[in-house]
Amino acid sequence: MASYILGRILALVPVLFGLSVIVFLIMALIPGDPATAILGPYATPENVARINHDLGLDRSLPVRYTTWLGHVLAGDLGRSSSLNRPVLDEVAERFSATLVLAGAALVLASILGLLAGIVSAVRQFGLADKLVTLAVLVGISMPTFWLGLLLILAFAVRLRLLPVSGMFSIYGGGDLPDLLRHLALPAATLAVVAAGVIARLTRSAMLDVLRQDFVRTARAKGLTERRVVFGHALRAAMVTVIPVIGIQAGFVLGGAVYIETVFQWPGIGRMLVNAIATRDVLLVQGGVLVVAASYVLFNLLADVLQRLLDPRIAP
Amino acid sequence: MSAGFALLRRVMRNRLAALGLVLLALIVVVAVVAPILPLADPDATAPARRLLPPFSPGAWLGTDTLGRDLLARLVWGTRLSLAVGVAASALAALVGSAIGLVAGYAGGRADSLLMRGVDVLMAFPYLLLALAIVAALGPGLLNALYAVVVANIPFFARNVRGVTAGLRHREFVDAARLSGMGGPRILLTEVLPNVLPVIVITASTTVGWMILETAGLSFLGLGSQPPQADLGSMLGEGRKALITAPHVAALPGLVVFLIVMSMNLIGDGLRDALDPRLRSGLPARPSVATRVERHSGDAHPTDGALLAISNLRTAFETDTGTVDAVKGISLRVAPGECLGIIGESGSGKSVTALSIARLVASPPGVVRGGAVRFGGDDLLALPVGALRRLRGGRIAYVFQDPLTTLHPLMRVGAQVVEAIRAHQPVPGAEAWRRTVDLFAAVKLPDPAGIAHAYPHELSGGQRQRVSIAMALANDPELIVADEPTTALDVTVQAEVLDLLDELRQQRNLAILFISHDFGVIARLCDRVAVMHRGVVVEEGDARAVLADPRHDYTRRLLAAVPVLGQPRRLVPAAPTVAGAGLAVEVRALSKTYPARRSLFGRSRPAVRALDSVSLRVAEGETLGIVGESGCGKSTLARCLVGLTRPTAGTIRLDGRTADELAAAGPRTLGRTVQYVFQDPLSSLNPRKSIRNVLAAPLRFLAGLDTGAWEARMVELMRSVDLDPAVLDRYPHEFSGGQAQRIAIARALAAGARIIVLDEAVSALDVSVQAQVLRLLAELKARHGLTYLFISHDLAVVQAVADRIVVMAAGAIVEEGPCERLFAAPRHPYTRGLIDAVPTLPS
Repeated sequence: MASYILGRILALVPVLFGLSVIVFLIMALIPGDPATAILGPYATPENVARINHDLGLDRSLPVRYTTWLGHVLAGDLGRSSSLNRPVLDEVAERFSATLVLAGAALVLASILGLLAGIVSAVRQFGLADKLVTLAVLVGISMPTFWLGLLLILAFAVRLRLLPVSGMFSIYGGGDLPDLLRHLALPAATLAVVAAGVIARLTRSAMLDVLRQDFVRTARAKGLTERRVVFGHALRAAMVTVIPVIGIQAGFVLGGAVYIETVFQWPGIGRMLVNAIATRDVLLVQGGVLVVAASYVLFNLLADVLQRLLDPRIAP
Repeated sequence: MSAGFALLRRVMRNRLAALGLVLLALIVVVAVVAPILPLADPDATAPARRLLPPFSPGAWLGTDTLGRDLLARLVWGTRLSLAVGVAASALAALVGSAIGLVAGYAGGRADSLLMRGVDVLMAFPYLLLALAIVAALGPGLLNALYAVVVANIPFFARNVRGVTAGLRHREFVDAARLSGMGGPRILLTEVLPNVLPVIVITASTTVGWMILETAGLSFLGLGSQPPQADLGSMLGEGRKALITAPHVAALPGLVVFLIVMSMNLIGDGLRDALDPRLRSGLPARPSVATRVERHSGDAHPTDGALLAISNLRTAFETDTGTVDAVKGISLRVAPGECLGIIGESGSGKSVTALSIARLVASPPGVVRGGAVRFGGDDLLALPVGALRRLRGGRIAYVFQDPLTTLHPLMRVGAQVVEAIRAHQPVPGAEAWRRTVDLFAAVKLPDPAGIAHAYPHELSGGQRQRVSIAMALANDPELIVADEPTTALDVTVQAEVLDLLDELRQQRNLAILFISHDFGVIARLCDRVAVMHRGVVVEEGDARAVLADPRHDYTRRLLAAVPVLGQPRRLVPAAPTVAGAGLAVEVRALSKTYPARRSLFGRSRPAVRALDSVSLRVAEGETLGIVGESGCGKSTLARCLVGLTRPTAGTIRLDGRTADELAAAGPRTLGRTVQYVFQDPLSSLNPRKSIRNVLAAPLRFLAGLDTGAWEARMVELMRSVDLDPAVLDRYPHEFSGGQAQRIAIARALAAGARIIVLDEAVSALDVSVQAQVLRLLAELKARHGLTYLFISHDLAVVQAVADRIVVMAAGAIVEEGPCERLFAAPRHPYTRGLIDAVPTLPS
């Protein structure tokens, strides 16, 4: 197992390398002149040349990449031009807010999705199955940014049950109940699509497994139906469900961009949208790099979990 | 395109999919005809008429923050969103599929290079990659489209690559190669038609998704820029007036939702309609016990029999009607007796076996009548709880393929422990101890150690022993064994049969033994029942029935079985022509699959599939090559026709080496040697008509003109006893035997005189097998062919071969004329192999 994990970590190196190249290139190829953007009205040719030299923009791409990578590996993501603070500080603060939101949404989606999928498979063609199928259809077709707005209208404006927004910093002031009150609507909205996908897949995986030979063997042994469904079928179905939860983590992380905008959540998605609007190159670069790298690590975790569950996967 | 209409009809039969189609059609029509609709100018602002509510005069749906007509904006926004979504989906499908096709078909370095690139794109959370690209290109609708396309390319590339890579190893692709087709042509005409449905479905299911994502980017202000407005940017603008005029934001969102939902409905319908597993109706979860629908019970006494089946009728209810599998059969098994049921595929023997404990999957299975009496109970009337106590308790089952019938993720010991504890209230440690004892009783080596193994870590024979131990767990009175040795090699089969026989005598077990193999039945059973098309045609003492069959069907069946030691030659011996040349000469042929080692993981040692094999086949001779699974016989066959490249050694065909044949032109090899695969249906492309299958060798190997094909095809079909009228049918419309005739016709098409038959009759039922063997004999006589006949079945080889080569572990262990080899085998391995074949009483 240890050697498997080590092998997987080594296999990540080229992926992370490719990722850093893409992030670097995207930002390096941005049209427009950062020097002009920084200097504004003071953009005399001499000043532009000086800034370009200071930023290292007058050198070749490979040289610029190596320099940049060196800084990144040393933990220096540069300084945000729009916020005038180190990119790393801003990204760390905003990303932790996103992790709280996305984590809550993923947990919620997994629980709801698994439960709904199991019930729906066990009661195939029954009322519960029909309701779940309908709910899944609505869920996976839902534009989350729209759903967020509708929920704000319903819960916060009409019913006045939950706050619309006003989550300024997850570290500032508020206690846990306050955090949960602020988290409820955005996390629920963000969970809808993922819950639908997980429920649908759990249902089909369960139905698939229930038709397999080894389930017939379990019945031929005289096991109770509860044990057949939960001991045998669900266990085998989880092998297909877990990777999907891993993939959904990526969609939840992406979907957080909409939710943060709709609910004014101080996360990294909103930061990125603002940074793109203000052309804050280093902030976009740092944000994208950190989120993508964390997602890669998360996928590693999902793979390891998968392997623990399934002894058949060769190392 | 009648196939297209048939598909549409199937989709429309699904009510939800039909709803989606109608809804989407409505939206698309409105969007398309938008320019001629009497709509207000969507961009005309009117500050005085800001935020009018719906149903206002002159503005049906009200107005937005700048007083623009919402209905007009909605229609034009929908038009834009649809166009962008469809364009993005088509573009992503095109680029992604091209990457996937090339990577999957080329394999090797190109594959890993392309897929590493795709992996890097996949490493980004979906929307984040799109954001980064928009950040680089700048906000704008076209840029948002590009971003969504790039983010979706990996999705298509992966799906298409997976399907393509799977197809690449299918036999029909090998067959196309042997028909003389080149790589790009195979990719386009053999592989692509099979991948296309996957691409279409993937694209149709992602259009909705793409619309959603581009709308999302516009909502964030990164997509369409004013005054251009798609649904997403309308929603984004409307958000500013959310509290005072919610309809301005709610309406565009609703339209996005409806579009995406209708597309999801259609996509689901399409997938259901195209998935062959779902064609016979929705996949239903099998219920705990087979449904029983009898009009009256049955009061036959059991007369001391342990099991008495009377007038049992089991059917399958499908969309297209009811199929009767078992049509009123009656059987009795006395305590300690072994009853065999024999029959060809589709005879209803397995359904009978499963009906006893009501294990036939239901739906579609249903017991229509009769009774199954066990002890005093009618099992068909028993409540589920009581039935469950019998299953694995007094009646235990052993199934055919122990790899699929054991739970793949549970240790085998735990699976037996579970069987014990389902029926006896014993503590876990005690159950484990009993499990180890049972493993010792079924003669598993290192019983305590094996109990901790997972099924995939054991050999086929070991797994079947585990299944038998599991069946014995609660001291049953009856074991129902459904083809328990069919998936095993012949020597392993002999061991398992001996074990069953021994256990039966020790424990006074009754066994109901299902098999298609007369020899196996003769070895184990006291009595035998012969089934044919759902009825028992003959029943009686096993030896008596086999020695002196009364029923015509039994007689025909037995006549078709090649029997070891009783050579009834189906292929006449080769006339010994003085000075006949060598058709095949193989010298010191070796094939080694190199060791695979990952940097840290366990490394797989090199595999020597062929170890310095030498053999000669004279012109007009039939050489039989026998051996158990993994002995290298198929590798040898593939090397002969050039599908596998040997590591060392030489092959001469008609006196010329592979290099000389290649130098003589690309068509020479295919005109010299041809190959018939084991499974005829997988060696024929499911999407090509028989005419097209036969056209390939005629065109690429024989070099015939289009005009000459027709006559040659008719001739070929006649030579394999098929009606030329069926040339325009597709492979799935033929039975296994007919499909194998087509594959033989393809092998003969270009005039090759050396034919490699790789288990060519092994997948066929015994009566069909005899017909195909006779056909092969005729063809050989007519065309003077040379056969290399590869099989695991010694009796079949004996019936056709002049000379036999026995292979084990990649090498030839013995070689000799057919009669001598069977009469006086010299090598102990050959002797073991021959002894292990279950024989009929003479």
